[in-house]
Amino acid sequence: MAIEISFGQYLPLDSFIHRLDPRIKLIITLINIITIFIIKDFIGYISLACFLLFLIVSSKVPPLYIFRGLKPLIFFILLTFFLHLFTTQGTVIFQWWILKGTAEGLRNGLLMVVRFMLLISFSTLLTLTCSPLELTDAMESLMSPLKRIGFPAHEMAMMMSIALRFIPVLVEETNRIIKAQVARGADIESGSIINRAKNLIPILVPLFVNTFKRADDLALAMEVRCYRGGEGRTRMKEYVLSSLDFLILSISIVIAIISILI
Amino acid sequence: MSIEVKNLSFDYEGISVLRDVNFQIDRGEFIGIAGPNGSGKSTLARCLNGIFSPVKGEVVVDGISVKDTSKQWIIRQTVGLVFQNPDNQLVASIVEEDVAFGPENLGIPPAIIRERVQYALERVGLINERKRPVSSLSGGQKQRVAIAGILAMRPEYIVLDEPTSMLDPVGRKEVLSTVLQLKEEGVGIIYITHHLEELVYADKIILLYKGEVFKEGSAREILTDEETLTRIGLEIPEIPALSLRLKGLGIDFNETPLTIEEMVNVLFN
Repeated sequence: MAIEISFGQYLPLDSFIHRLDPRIKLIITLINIITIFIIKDFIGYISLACFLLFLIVSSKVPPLYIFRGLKPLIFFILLTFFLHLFTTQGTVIFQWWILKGTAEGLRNGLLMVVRFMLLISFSTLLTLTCSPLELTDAMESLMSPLKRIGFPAHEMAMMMSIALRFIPVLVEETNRIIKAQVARGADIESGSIINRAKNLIPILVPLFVNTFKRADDLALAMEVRCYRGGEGRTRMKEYVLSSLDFLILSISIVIAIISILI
Repeated sequence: MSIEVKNLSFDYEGISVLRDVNFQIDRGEFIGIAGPNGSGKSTLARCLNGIFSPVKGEVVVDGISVKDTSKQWIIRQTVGLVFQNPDNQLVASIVEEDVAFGPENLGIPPAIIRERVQYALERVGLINERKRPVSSLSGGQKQRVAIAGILAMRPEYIVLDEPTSMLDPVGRKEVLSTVLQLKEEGVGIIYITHHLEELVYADKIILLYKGEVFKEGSAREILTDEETLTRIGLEIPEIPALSLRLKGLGIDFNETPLTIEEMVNVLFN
């Protein structure tokens, strides 16, 4: 039972998508997500899907990585599909036992599947082409106007980047603890759901204890490296918007408008 | 310019951890501090840059007392601290972004930060890994990134608190040779460990036992004093141990060999 995740796994390749300003990438992703929710028809998704395809190809990210992002959510996507298929009222096209599949349900279900896949693909592409620090820098920069009303933009960004930094560490640690407990005879994969949930306790307790220890160490290491909050802090990376950034942003806005209108 | 530790005592929740510790380290010097678990080594490390303030006595860094809280950031920048667990002290996910963390906190302009990151990564030999995620590095490489992160703040002294205890032998060698090179470049090194074989190149070794300085002396004096080492529960390294056995067999050394090279030289010349 090894855990694998692709979220937050930055793929450092050299493409113009990677070199785009992370703020622009974040805004484009947000525009696309909003568009995905506004669109009510299949035709609108076609142009959006073409745009996604263009972004994936030009980012040089192997499509396999995008599929990997989709994989853990397949069950959820299928569940939504069948819920729509069987619960929407309308013309019955087939019947199985007490479940009635309707034409409207089929349409809604497929719409949801496309919606989810686009949604996940766009956000996976963002995390594959932006390093976590770039991403949090972008969030901090976009949220910084809110600092004036007391919103802790820097602290939020710092928390987020540390969380992303420790995802691979904690995954590795979880796998190690699982192996250690299995070696001691723990059975974590069989039994009823309740039993299996109970079996997670000997994994979660050491994981929690170790995580607090890590947090303590990390806080000390940050203090030693003169961390004192966002005040007076500079950044190594300067983000300057180029004409390419504006071009891609304009293209994205045009595509969003087209997708909504057609 | 030096760090002076004068009659340093420290209590932790009413328990005395350090008592009357005295020593001095100059820039470009390599001091080894060794002692068994619970001897106060880590507490001493944290006292050297003011993370812990001395209960009694004084720690003075280049003329500034660590008790002076208005100067605490200067002191932390002057005395860098590297810890045991490489994973728990790296803040950012990408090598160069982590190295930049310290200078960023100091409020240095971006162009100079990039220069310093370049400099620091060259010093530890990781310039080609600058864009890699830290999670893909080996333990020894991670620990060198941690050292680079400290170097980028341009410290005068680096305190390393058991930097190799979680590394494999290859990683240990990497870290140790990096440290020796920094000493050559004029950085003061305080190296805390219980692997005594790592201290053969130290200018001076201080043995801590139950919070007090048990003995101090040159590497040759300390590492060949089997009786003292055994008494405080430390293990004599292999080559000094071999030297002592050979001496027992009647081989006469001018200088007791500490490293394999010295041993080979003495035996075959």
